[in-house]
Amino acid sequence: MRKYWAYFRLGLQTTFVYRGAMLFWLLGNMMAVTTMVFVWLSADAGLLIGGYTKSELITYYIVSIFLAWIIAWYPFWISNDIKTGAIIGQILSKPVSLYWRAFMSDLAWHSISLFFGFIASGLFLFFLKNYFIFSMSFEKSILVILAMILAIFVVFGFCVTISLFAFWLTETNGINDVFWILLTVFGGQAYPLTFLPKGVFSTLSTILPFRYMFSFPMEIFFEKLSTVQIFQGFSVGLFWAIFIAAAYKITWKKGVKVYNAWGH
Amino acid sequence: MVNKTLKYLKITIILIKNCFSKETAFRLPFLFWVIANLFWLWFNLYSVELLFKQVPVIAGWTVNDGKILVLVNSLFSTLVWFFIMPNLIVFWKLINQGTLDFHLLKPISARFLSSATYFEFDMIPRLIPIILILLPLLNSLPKLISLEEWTLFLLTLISGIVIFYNFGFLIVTACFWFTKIDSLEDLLGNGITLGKYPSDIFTGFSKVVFSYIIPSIFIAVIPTMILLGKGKWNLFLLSAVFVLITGILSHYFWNFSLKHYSSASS
Repeated sequence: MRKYWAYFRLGLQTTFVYRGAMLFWLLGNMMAVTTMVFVWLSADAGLLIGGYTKSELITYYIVSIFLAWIIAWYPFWISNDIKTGAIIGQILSKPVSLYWRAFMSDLAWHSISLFFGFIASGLFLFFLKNYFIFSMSFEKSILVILAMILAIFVVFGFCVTISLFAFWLTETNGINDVFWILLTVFGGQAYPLTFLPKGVFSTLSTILPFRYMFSFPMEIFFEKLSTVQIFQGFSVGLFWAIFIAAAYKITWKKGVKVYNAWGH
Repeated sequence: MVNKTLKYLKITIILIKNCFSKETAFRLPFLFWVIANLFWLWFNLYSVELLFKQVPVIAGWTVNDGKILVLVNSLFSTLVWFFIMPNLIVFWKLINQGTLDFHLLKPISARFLSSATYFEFDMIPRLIPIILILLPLLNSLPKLISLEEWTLFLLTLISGIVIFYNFGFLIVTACFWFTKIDSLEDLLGNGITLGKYPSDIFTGFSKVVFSYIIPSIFIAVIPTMILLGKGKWNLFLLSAVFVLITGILSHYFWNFSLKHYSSASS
């Protein structure tokens, strides 16, 4: 376990050294959220928009910026390490697990990004306090935190696994982009999932893993789910977390066997 | 001058060919990119439907106006992703790895080489559906678009690309101080997304910030306004002024930043 904490410390140091990346990510995220907040502020809308009030929708985007800083675990650099052969020196020739090494690096990044997430959300709160809706009971807090932890494992496992496709394809950016679309549509990043038309789309959003990467903690936060739906959500999310972890193991084993790299 | 232009043109063609060979070497990932980009186009159009189903009018823009705006934004994004974004988002590597040295030592403009080395082709196929959807939408407008408006549309679209490049290049010069900024794609990408919403959603000071200081209005809103008959030469003039201002600023920042470049050891 000590070796993974060393990766955690290394991740912290790297994040502090390259502060610019985090700053620009923060600015980009804030820009995206600001746009959506202004869209809803200018909208001449009725009482309910997709099951949400105007204030709830604005709160949705303020919370989403904070949530994105906690659960956006996208270690796509793995595919680049496979492509360049860096994975040989960093993982294959060392007694470390790729999964946990990447996990600790991302944990370090997110330990710091959490602080920035607070600042960003605080800024939005300052300007939009009249629209912000916040009610948190102890039980709800626990459920939201559990849903966020589940989201981290689903999103992280999924991204690590698709990064491993670089063993066969070398270049996986195209697949990553397909992932972004699915997360945006079925994960509730662009709009709450209630905006999707009833039928195929809404059914798919419940079955596919993307809802459990972003929307599920939000739905609990906004009290849009009954107790049964929360239980069902945790069950499906847990199934995906386990399924993805198993898929990672299989992909890693098969990938390493077919791997060819060239020296520098 | 003519010889110099021809030399740069020749180099650009060689670089384009080189990038095309590189991209098509990985055919399956390239296919994924093409599919993903077509999906983004679909999603952007579909999100207009989703949005306007909930709210019939946003800041005076109707669903059809919104679709035209999104299609013009997609057209802009396709062109920008062909030759500007691929260079801007990897600029940090030149500083981080010290490879800007090689650009500075060559008998060619270092800024040109830093801005025109990479070209991406996976967005190009989506130009077909964009045009095929956009033209019938424009034909359904109550008034016919005149040749003058088409010309102004093209001029403002090109101006928007130049403004985006100048502004983007100004931002990436921050790499000289921060060294590694691998999140530029997020920032610039969200900047393009900002351009797919009517600038009228912003009011007062926020309009100044999100339309002009971050010049998102020039991405798609101004060209779309010309197509919708909401302005003509006044909008083109505004674009031309911003081309000049951002051009001067980005040139100044580039020279200023170069003075602070200290290379990197390998």
